[in-house]
Amino acid sequence: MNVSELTLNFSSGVPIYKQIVQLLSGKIISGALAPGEKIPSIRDVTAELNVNPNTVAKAYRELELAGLIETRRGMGCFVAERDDARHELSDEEKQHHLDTLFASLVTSAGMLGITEQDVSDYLTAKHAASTKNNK
Amino acid sequence: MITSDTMIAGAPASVKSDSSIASVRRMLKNSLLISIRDSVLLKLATVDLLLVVFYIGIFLCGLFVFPALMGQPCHTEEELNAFYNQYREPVKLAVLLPIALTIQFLGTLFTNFLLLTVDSEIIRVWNGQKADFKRGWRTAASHFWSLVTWSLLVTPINIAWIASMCIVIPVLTRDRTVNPFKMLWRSVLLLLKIWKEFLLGIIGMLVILYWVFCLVFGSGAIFTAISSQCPPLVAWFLLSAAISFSMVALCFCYLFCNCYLCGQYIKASEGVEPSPESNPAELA
Repeated sequence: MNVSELTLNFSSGVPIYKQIVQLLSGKIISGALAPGEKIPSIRDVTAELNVNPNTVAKAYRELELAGLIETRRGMGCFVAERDDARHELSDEEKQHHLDTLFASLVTSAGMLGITEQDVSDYLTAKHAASTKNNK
Repeated sequence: MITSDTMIAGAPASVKSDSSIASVRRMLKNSLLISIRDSVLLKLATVDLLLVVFYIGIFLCGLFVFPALMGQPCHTEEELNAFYNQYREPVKLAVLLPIALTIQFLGTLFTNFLLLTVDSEIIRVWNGQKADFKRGWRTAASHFWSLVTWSLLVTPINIAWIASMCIVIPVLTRDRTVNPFKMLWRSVLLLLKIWKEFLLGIIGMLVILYWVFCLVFGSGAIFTAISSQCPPLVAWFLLSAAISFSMVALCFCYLFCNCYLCGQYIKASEGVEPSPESNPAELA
């Protein structure tokens, strides 16, 4: 994974460490980042995105506590190998990740001038369409 | 395992539960550390301050040159006052006001530009990088239009440089909006997140600046007293030493204040207290 794939928005008002958590957890949960894949080191993220090392370290610590990444001493941080990191999340964790994904979606939509209501309507319509197709 | 205790030296995980005073103390200490340690940053601040002094010099010269251009050269302050008083008439004011506003706008733009060069590099040093002269200037140049619109908004307000220095310019280092009202709004939103630390920090900085200025003026008085009883050559040497010392102290204070303000900006925008010290093992 490249650091350039992490796009931060410094004017959104969302703390940067939360944005990093949202971006990485989104990629891990969606499968864009495979288990065992190396994620950029704190030094790389810091240098490339001009953010403080403490910020990246805090984001990685949160991801590690959520069981999404693991640190191998001397080798760096990797996406958690265990499948249960994704499939056996507790209800609370699932809710947390849903909130994170939704906040990220609303933030990105807001930057494009799309309101939260529009996003909600779109999701409802999409859900209805996919349910209809499945039937 | 990224543990809270080993995360980053100087900023343990207890940061969150820390009192504001402890946080401010740590930030002031780190700001002092950055100001002392990075010589490039001090040079950049010195060059910027010298350029501001140079601009003020040109402006003051302009005050004397303008009457000469109008065919009424002034040599004393009374003559100068008399010359400019005649421009209080509405018709003549209409001529002079745009010129005065243009000069003030250029001055504001220039100082904001210089402030951005310093602030962008300070943020990099907070983030564990080394300061770079050219990069600072390039960053400021890349925000030129944002600086122009902000300067246009604040030109008529004399004390707007305080707002620029304290809240807007640090935000501009990473925000590319050209709408000055948006800049101000975003800056205020960030400031609201850290208002307690911000106020406490201002008090802390004032205390430190008070002692620095006591030192500067005290040493200035001693230099003057000694030089008045010395041969002219020695007196000139002492005077230049006193001026150099005052300049260094002034640059250092300017840098220190900006380091603190940028540190607070990082804390507000990134949600984590910054620290220039990092544990190399954790960064790998």
